[in-house]
Amino acid sequence: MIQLENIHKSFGSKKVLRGVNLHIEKGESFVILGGSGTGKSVMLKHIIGLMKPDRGRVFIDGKDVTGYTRQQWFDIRRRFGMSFQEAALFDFMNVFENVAFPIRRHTRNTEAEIRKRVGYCLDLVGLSGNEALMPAELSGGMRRRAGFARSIALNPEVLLFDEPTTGLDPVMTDQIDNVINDLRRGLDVTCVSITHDMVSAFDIADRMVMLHEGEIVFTGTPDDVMKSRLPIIRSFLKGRICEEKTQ
Amino acid sequence: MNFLDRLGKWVLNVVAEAGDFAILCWTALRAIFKRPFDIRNLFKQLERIGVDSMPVVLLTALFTGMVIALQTYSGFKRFQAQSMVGALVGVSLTRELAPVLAGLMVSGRIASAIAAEIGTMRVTEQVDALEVMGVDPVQYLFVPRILSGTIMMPLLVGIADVIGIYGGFFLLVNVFGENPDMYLNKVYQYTDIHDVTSGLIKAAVFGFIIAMVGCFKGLRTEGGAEGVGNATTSAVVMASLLILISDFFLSKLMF
Repeated sequence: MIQLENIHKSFGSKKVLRGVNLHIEKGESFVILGGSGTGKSVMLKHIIGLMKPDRGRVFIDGKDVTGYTRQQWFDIRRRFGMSFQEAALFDFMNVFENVAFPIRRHTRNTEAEIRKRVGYCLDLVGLSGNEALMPAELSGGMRRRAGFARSIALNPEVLLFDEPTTGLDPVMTDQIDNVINDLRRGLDVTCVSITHDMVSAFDIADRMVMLHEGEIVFTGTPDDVMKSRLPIIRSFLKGRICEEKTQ
Repeated sequence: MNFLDRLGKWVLNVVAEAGDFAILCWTALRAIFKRPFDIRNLFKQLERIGVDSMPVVLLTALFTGMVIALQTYSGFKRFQAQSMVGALVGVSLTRELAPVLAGLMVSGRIASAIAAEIGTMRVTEQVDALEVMGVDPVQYLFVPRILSGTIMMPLLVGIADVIGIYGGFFLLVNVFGENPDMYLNKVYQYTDIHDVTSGLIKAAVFGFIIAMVGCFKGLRTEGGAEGVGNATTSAVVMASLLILISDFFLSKLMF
């Protein structure tokens, strides 16, 4: 469904992505693992067209979308829902208006239909009854879940999660993982998540890749990860990132 | 060589920023005519940019009118020309002082607020969220603010003209004991309709500049709180400079 082919991206003299190739199948939960600053978010932004590669191509449903204009991307993005690291809720709107926002912009639904849809989305993420709260009044976990609710408001085919559990306590992390799994099962969508949280990755992934220094160094299932002898994977499993070329 | 190198870089930066600003202006102008029209957001901005700016603009106009009357009265009295104070207050306020001073006051209040608001949205990924939801940030964030600035500034300046003229009237009549009819007659006699309309046209252009610069600087914000602070400051500086520069060219064009 989504394919990145030989993606290169630099910011000034810093090379962030160096020839990334990956293929995400329809309906799978795909996790991109990696330490901070390895280019995970940059990769995600290439998938949704917020960044253009210096070299390489992006395919969605077999179509090369690399050279698409902003307007063409706006049309494609309606098939995606993205949840940001800090949720990126509009701080001048309450929870209800945040979730209703994409519905109001892209459909001609009546107010009753919007209320019903928002209620359904908030119910899926366990936030019913919090419609009137402003983002500043929400805890970190509630903000993420409100962000999830907004991202599913338009019935997307693909859900992207940018560090969904970063900064949360273990109990809340587990809850967020459960919500992601419930959303995936309930809505039958393709999920792409980026994280550096190994526990969370094992909870939600069908398949995962490890990004290190702008290159994919490993691709496989969670079982393959457990069996891997790669030093970077072993270090990550132990909870620390391998320092560059320790030998 | 080092100095030339830095000078070259500075010039390139300025030219690149001017180019980006021009492109964004064009994109924003085209976005005005694209659906959907966000009327609710437009009214919110009309209130924020126009209605909420009224006290500061009117106070500025009132005291400007009074100070021109005060200064010219004492000067003109030396050669028995105090009857002409009304003419000078009327022409200088409507043509020049009301639009420029209102523009500078509103730029301090609004360009900074817009830059801070959009800058914060930028650094907290709210602008990215708009893009991801298939909503053009230029259309959603820029258009209501630009329209509000362009519509409300002439209205503010129109009211400021009247308040400023009556500020001068109040001072001359109540403090210096001059004839009230004479002051107002001179205002009507010497202030042409073209003086008023040219001031209102200037105000519309200044309103566009203020909102556009605020949006432009906000959208280019990088980093965290420091970036938002820099965007806010540079928005006020850039808007104020553009107001003064465009004022010269508009005056040259219209008179």
